[in-house]
Amino acid sequence: MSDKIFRVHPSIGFARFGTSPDYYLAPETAAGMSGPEGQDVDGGLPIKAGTEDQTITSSDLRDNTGALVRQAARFRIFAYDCGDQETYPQGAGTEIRIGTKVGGRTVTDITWCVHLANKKANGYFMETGIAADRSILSYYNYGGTPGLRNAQEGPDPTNPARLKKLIIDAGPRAVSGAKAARVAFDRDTPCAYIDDSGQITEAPDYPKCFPSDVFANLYEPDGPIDTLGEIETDAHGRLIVLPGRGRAVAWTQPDGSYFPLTSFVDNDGWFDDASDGPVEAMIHFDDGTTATVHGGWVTATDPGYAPQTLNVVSLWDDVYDAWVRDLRLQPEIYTGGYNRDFEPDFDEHISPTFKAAALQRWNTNMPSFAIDAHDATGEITADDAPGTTIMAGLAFIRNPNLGQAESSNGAPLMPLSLGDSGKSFLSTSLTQYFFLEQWNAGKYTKANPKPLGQGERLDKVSLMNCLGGRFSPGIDMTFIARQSNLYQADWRGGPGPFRIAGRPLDYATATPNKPFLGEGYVPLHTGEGSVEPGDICKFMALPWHTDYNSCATHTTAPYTNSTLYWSWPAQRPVAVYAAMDVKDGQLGEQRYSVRGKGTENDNPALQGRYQDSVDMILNWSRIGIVIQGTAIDGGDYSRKHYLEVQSQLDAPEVEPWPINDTSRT
Amino acid sequence: MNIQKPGPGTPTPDWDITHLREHLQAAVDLEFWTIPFYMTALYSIKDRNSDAFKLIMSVANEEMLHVQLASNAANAFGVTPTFDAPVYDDRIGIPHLQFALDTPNPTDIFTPHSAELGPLDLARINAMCLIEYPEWLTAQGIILKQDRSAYGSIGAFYDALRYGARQYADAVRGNVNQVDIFKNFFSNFPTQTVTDNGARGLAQVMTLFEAITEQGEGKSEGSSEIPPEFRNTADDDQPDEDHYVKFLSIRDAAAGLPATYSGDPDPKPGTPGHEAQQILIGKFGDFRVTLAALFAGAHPGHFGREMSALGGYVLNCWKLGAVPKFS
Repeated sequence: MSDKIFRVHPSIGFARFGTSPDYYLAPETAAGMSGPEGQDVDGGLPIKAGTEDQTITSSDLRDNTGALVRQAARFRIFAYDCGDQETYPQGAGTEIRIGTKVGGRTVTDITWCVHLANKKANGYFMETGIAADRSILSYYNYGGTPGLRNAQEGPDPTNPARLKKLIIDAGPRAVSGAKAARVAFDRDTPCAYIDDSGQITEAPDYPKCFPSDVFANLYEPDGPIDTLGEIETDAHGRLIVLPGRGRAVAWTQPDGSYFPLTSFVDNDGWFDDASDGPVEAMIHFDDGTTATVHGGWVTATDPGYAPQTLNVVSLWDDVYDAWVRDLRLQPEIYTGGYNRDFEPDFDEHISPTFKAAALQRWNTNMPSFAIDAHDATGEITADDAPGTTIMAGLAFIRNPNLGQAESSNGAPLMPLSLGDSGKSFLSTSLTQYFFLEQWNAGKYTKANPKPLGQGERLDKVSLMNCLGGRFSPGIDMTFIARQSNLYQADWRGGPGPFRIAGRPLDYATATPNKPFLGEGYVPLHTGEGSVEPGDICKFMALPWHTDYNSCATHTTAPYTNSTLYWSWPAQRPVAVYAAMDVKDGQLGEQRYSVRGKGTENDNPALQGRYQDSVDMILNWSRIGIVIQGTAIDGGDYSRKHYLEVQSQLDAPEVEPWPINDTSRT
Repeated sequence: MNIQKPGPGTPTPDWDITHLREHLQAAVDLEFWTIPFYMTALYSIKDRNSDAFKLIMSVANEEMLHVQLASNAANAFGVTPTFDAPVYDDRIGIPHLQFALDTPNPTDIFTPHSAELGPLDLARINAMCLIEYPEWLTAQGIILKQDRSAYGSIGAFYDALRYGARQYADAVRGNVNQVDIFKNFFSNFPTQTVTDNGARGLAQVMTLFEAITEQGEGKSEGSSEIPPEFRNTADDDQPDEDHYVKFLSIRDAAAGLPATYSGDPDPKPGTPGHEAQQILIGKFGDFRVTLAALFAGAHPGHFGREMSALGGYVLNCWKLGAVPKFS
């Protein structure tokens, strides 16, 4: 028994905002890939609450009041037999539930602890003062940092007075057993954690802090921030983490007015209720013993408005790339350089990039010939000779090895969407591109010799369904996902890969008047093991609504010409096909995803978004969701179509790309 | 035989609508001929971030527009264009053009030149300059030719085409197999199709010809800048420069021509290069069939993928040691 290693999966899970008290579960299949067996849908769809893998339909997206249903993150525990010679992938692992027999003992209980916080207001600028030709990360070089958000609250991000005012800290909560009642991360619910004996212990002195605790007069356009979410367990003792309600609030300036929303990304004087933090677990056996579990991390962030659209560069691509190149995840692929004899697996390593390219059409206004070209990309199979496909010679894939010149080179190079901070256009990760090169050279396998285990699959799928690339600064996890010291490097025979290196938190030391959390993780400054609750979402836009609102289309930065390109369309649909416009199986004209009153503007550069960002705070939950035709209730829709449903907005059609910023032509 | 410049509006007895229609097909042939030629030179360049690569890419894109515009004009006069496999042979030269007929003879400047497919070398860039050689440097007025192959420049060819088209305005029919694929890439372009009959349709045809010549081939007067209405508004780093200026800047660049791949024109069967050539031949054949269908009023579903994919097939030929071969 002692040889068993227990790990939480997914290693990083994502909950997504909604306005309803209800929830569905985060998808456990990847967008663009196969859906659950026996269901007539492709991957990426969330799962109905209370079910193992029954995917949602359009009716599940809103509750009976019309409120947008939240996405909860479900965490499970898997047991492994592995030592310090562990390789990735393991391809094994057994799920541990209450009642599972492991090594002659029976699991009688599982205790979970989650700590959620939001440190955005104490973070650094992600955009303000960031030069168009520099990455955000470069500002952290040589001991430097970008400017500090909310400098009016003091220049020192470690100052307790500043921390107390600017960090939303709900503290830890713990649950155990099957079907544990929902526990809220609000002001009234006591903090609790798992003590050394494995028991849930209350922490009455924990210094919880919410905006109204420190600011007397708040502007709350969509309601107060009085909770960061909830946790509960399912019938098997798995953990369910629910996010906040996607709200934002502002406090007052010295003149008594509320801080205005002046930036896409960095707005002083504002909070939102995004959050993140560690997920810890303890297993209890029938012989009275316990086992510690290598924990995970949860992030609560933007809604998934197109859950089945895979990003061409997903968060998985960036995290995996960091692990392959910096943390020796798979030496057979990379040891100081790529192994040109390695044969990637078509379905595992190559096909996702092609499928993702094809799916972009459903959230963008591609012209018809480009749609056909992208369809051809998505149709490439393992049996096609690469030289006969539209990707022959990789003539149209932007090469990430070629630096700034290549990243400034637009059409016809793909991806034709905006790049990271400091780069005009997006490029695949280096490892992604290596796999494509191997495929192009005919060096790939059609039957994966090392398939992922179930837990490993959950890790990958969770990250695949998130935004990678286009980290300017990004959502879900942002540019810090590429930093190797964010993770637990000594992973073999222990935590396994892709696990955040959280700072050990001793809740017994908490005192009422002293902030428990500090500045926490700072890229290129702090070492492994410095990540605190709230340190992941800290690098996201504040509030998230302004970033979401603006990130429809932009000209490139650095500037190339007035042509508008999509920002992160797989997460933030720009132009959609509404299910209600489909007639006799034929698509209608496209509409902007964000449309209607308050979005009108003659300049295409400002269309498809609210002209006043506050309107996004008020209306984000009314935006429709893009899902596959076979998941849409009440009509006969094609499986090939991905259509917008459940929008509570309305407005006219969209011109196909390319369109221009008319203020610059 | 040459027919000397007639007066405005004067029908030319021995240059009838049959000649016009032959010239319309010839325009399609000429525009289509440039695409494999330019793509072959384009993808021979190793550095796709070089100015040369970007400039030739922008011209090749506009040549595809020209195929559309010439085909739309042809359809407006009742000519359903065909897309035979272009021939690249120095013994034949560039279709419908005999530069030696121009005065001064531009081949005196642009020598050596070759009409055979090959890498971007001096012979190829000279040929590209000759193709796009501006008529305003040699303009001698309109000369109509019975023989479609007897023009000294593309400008002279299109002058003749314009003149001939004006004589048969009544033959223009709008909305015949018109294609408008590149509309948003030229957002200031008034219309890329012929939608009216008669004189109003003729005016639209003239706009299509004007776009072709102003963008590159046979600029008739004024500066070398492309008028704003015909500039690419989407993806051209130098949207105001015409094709000739772009090619001349490549030819005369201080750094010389960029590094290119080299290849065997006739690699042995069984070699990767030969296989890549065969793929390109097959795919280009498919593309020609699709083009013919597209401009015959059909809606072939795979135009986008077939057009877009050609670049990769051409590149693969070079990477695998073969000169691209299209037929």
